[in-house]
Amino acid sequence: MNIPGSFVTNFIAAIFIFLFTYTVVSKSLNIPLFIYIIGQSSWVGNYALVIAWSVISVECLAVILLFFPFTRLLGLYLSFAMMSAFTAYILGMLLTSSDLPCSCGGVFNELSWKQHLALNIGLIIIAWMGIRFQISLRNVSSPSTA
Amino acid sequence: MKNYLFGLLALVLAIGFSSFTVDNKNKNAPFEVYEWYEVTYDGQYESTGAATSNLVFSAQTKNYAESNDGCSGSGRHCLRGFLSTNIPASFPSTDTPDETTPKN
Repeated sequence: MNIPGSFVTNFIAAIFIFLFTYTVVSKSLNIPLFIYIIGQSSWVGNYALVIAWSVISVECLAVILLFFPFTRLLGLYLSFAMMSAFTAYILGMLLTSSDLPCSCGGVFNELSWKQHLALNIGLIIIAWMGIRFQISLRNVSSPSTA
Repeated sequence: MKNYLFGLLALVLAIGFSSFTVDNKNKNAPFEVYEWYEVTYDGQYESTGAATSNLVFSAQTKNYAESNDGCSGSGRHCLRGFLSTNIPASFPSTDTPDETTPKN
């Protein structure tokens, strides 16, 4: 039986798989530069190496979790958490810093910080929608008995 | 299978797009080293002479030059950086520098 909700969650998961895979590959192609750029931020400072590898690792983990249906909800939660963290970082940088590096990877480097903020907020909403649809799918496929 | 279809397509597209993303020719710029000369905004030296006599830093990155230029005041570039293959023969020079340190 074709349930539209599954199409939505598949599509949303695919969006984040695309997003994280693209940024991981872009960052991985020049990791020293990525570490150098995020190290320019006063928020990151000497933790640039740890944070850089953590971001790449968590993004890879999110891709794996999103790919498989039985871990997709976890992947969506992780995507939501990561986008929230990135958004909080961007918001903090916009409010506190005058010199803003960007280390987002690929074409995302071409966005302004405000554009990036708007994009991230949109992605948070999409992740939340994905979570809601996935939970409702689970409730439909495993209804609780009275 | 269809549960994996979107994911597979997304993976393939992401890897494909990242491969075709325009390569930033300046992606290694922070690690590039230059020969740094002290000049005014119009290319004039503090004193005339051969290019080597007003060399401030040799083979240093822009980050190093900005951190150590010790420049203050307005109305001039502090330092101009040239790749070793692009150094003017002498100053004053109208050659476009490869890098500059900003006015403080």
